[in-house]
Amino acid sequence: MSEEIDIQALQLGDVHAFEMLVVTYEKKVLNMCWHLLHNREEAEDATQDVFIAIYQSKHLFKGESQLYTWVHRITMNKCLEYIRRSKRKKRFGINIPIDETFLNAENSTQLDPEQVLIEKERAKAFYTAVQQLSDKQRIAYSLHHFEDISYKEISESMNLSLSAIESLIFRAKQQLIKQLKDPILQNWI
Amino acid sequence: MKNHRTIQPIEVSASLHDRLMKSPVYAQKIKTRTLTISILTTLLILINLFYFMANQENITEDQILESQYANFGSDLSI
Repeated sequence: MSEEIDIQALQLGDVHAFEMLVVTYEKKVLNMCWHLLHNREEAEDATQDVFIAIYQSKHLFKGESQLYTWVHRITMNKCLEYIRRSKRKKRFGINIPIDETFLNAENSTQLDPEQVLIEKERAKAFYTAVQQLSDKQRIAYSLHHFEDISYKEISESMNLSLSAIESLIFRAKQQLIKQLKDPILQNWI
Repeated sequence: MKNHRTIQPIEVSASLHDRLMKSPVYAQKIKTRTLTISILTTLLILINLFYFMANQENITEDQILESQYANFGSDLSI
């Protein structure tokens, strides 16, 4: 099914076309939200909001960019809203925890409990440092680092120039290097 | 060598998939709710405005009746 036909039908309010869009992008959007928000519950709520926003603004898609770029952009904007909301909540003492999956080591079954704990603390320090980056730095860095999205795609999604994205990611890395003194953590950056 | 931490992608649960499929319904509900709230807000503002205006008239009338001019002309005879 071509993207054009899909979006044309979608813009006419065709439910089947929308369902196809959900099936195509749900996993990608969920994982993007998850990598940006570090919390599954938040990521699921954000994913739901993304698809509602896609449905509400389907008529605004002009076809000037790829469909996935448009979906990325809506996802990023929703995640930005969630990041800002969580920062506001933090000010009132409500802390949204980092998901355990992010904190557990990949090979945790081979490690002794003490090492697992150390690894968990390292991961917590790493993701907390990522969360402390500025909103744009956090998004650009996370998309490139966790989602493996190219600078060009990030620049299209964030509506910024390529050099601006390079600069954002460079400054994010510098900030993380400054914050994380542990050499193992510096290897993760 | 860089030791990037890789996080395994998560799968979309059946309940989330159902919720996503119902997005058009939710979008419609949000639209209806927003419209209802807008109408109610406008109505409330209008009711308040009319109440305020009606009350303003009563206050002015009451104020005149309580003032020194309340009985103006009552003792005049032709």
